[in-house]
Amino acid sequence: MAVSYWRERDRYYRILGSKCQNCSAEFFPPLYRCRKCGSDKLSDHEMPQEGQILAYTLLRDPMTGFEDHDPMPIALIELNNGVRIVAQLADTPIDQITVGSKVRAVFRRVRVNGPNGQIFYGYKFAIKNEKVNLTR
Amino acid sequence: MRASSKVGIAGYGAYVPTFRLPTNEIARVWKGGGQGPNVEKSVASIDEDTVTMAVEAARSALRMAGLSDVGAVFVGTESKPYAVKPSSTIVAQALGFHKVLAADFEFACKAGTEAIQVITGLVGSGMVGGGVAIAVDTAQGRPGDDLEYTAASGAAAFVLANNGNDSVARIESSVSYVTDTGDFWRRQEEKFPKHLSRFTGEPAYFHHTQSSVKMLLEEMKLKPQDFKYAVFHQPNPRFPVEVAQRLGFTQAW
Repeated sequence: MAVSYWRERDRYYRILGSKCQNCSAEFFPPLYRCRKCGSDKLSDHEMPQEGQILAYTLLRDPMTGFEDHDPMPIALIELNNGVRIVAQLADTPIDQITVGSKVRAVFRRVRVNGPNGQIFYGYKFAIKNEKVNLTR
Repeated sequence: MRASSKVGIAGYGAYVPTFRLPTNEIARVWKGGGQGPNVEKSVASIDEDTVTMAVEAARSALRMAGLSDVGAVFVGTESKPYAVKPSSTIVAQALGFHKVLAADFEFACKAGTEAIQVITGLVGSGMVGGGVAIAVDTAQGRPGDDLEYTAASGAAAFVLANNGNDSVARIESSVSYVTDTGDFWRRQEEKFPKHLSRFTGEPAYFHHTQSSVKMLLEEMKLKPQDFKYAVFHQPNPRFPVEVAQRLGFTQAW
């Protein structure tokens, strides 16, 4: 995992995608050829840091290494440029997640390889509602 | 210590984690009830550490500053995720900076201030156009120790650049006063820090704060009455109020 993650760290750290220099279409994850016009002239492009939840699910039995995150909310998010992205939601009580909620990107630990291994960082999203009740 | 050209704060950002721990809950666990000196403290989420909080604060500061000419990213903390591997390079990568000086600063409470002082020198000498100084901690208190009430999590970032009309504030001067005082430490491999309680007040906090403030006032030929506001290091509610009174800052809140 470490090598592939290292190669793609800007994608995970900054939500770095692609923008077509011919038709201005934006993509995430980054592409080598534009899906809209077929041009191979794409440049690195940072995605907007905000969007809204289109759909979500709760993983009640997360994969090995993510047991502490049970239940893990995963959302399909439409960013403000129309690009869709799948991401884990952070800091949000599960009964307060709703379709249509506005979200913003946050920088978090994504995976930790045990007590001695590397820590992998990347984007997650958090609901922007300042009235989210965390006191219960 | 004054830079040869004026340096200003172009932007600042802060990050405090979402979650809170009421101090009466800490008192309930260790003492069967009661209240801490403060109502609550912020605690990092399960997927947060000093690197993630530093990135959040720095992004906020950079948005405010609107500065692209950044030549240094320094992170000051006592709670690094890695004993060997700098936090500052992870932060720089997340901010999209590569042609920068990156370093971690070590101290119990003064690491972020050191980062500000070094970047002030770098910007003031013209070596870099601007820099980001970040102070961040997920401070630890040994279970049952009084520090548990106040050792919390948070980050503050300052973007420093040549002083201009857009600067939030100008850095006139700074000083540093250090001694080897065995007040607070955490050995390699240890999870929690230790402190010698009777050293924390007089030999540590008061001696160093009073000495450095007197140095600064002498250097700038100013006196406490010349200042409208003075902010001191706040390890607990009592120390900053008392040191302000000792130094002659007569109104203290």
